[in-house]
Amino acid sequence: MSSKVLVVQPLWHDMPVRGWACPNTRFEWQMEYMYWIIGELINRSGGSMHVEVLEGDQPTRANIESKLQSLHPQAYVHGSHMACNAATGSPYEPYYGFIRPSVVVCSPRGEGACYSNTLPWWQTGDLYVDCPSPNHTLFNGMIVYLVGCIAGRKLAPDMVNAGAKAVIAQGDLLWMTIGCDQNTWWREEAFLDVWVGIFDRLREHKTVGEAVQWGKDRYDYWIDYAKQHGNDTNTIFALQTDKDYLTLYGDETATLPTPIIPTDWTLFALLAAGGGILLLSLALSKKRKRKMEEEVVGA
Amino acid sequence: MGDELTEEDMELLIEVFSEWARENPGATVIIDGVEYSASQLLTAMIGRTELGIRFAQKLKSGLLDFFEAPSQSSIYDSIAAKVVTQRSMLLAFLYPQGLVYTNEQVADEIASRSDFGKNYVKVLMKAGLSRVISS
Repeated sequence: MSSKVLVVQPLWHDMPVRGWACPNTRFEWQMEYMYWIIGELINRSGGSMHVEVLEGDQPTRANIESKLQSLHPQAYVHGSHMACNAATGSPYEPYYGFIRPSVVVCSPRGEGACYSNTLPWWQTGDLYVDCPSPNHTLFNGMIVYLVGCIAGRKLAPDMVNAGAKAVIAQGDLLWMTIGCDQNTWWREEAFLDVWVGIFDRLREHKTVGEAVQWGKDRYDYWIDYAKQHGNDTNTIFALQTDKDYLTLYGDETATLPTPIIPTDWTLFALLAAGGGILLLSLALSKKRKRKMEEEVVGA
Repeated sequence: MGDELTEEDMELLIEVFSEWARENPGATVIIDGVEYSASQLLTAMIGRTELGIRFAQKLKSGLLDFFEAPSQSSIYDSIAAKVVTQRSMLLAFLYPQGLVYTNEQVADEIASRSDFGKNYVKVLMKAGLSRVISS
């Protein structure tokens, strides 16, 4: 029996990334980038895990909660914009000239305000969002992977305190860069490589601690690569910050369950038990038949 | 011009090097054939001794070489001049609609010494420091 994972992959038109400054990107919107990365995670997981996906408009709060309760997954992956105590999804609504996603997973606000270490408070505002009915308690026993900004501040520890085995999340903003011409598209592949690679390690039944350490080492690999391929400081900044704030909460020795593969002896035992049941039911039906014949004769 | 060390450079280098020293306890650095402990060098930098200033100058020129940043009066201005020549955009997956910075915006943040600009340069210095010291 393989591990079950629920993957949440929202998609909406958030911030445009193709424009006068960067005319030749392969993505038009920021979330297309994330959608592409999580799509790769889904593709790679399909062969070895039971994967269920809520994508595009599907990841509403109600759909996520219902799927968690019906599927009972061992792992949960969510790739989207996030706040200190929340992850977002559908429905998407107009918001001061932009489109705003909905809060679909959240825990209560903490004391005071939640600010980023990399951007000033007046630029981002308080990164706590209102959470009138928290649902962070629905991840009991799971390994959770939150691919988005700053949910490591409150949502991730709250999930662990509510019973999640382990949560991988960012302790500050999750940065990435986009290349403005085809020669620099490898930068996008670099972030994909790290973010999907962390989950690959979990699929290989490495511990969560090993998966996170692999991610940190891989960020270093890509910093060296970036240095040798154009030395783009935006990319080096993003890789180094993401590495510094990649954080693990909960049990670092947690792993996804190893699939149960029947051995020869287990198969033999199952066949023997099946055969025994068959013989027993045959004997019982014979006995019942004989009794009925005796009753008919007696009558 | 780039070899001159401003007080702003010195403060930045002390902050970054002290973090590096904390994360690499027991690390040593060889300067002109002499081996020094990281804490010795940090103390020298904070005290603005001849050794501390010489080490800071080496760090500054090594880091600017590492990032291929044009030599300006300060580390901030050198990195800002480098950023503006790049062709990439910086994104963050932050609630509600995400963040996008063009190169020009990042360069402006650095040039104006905003909190973000200062942090950007500090992170870069940190990324370069281990590589410059070990090379």
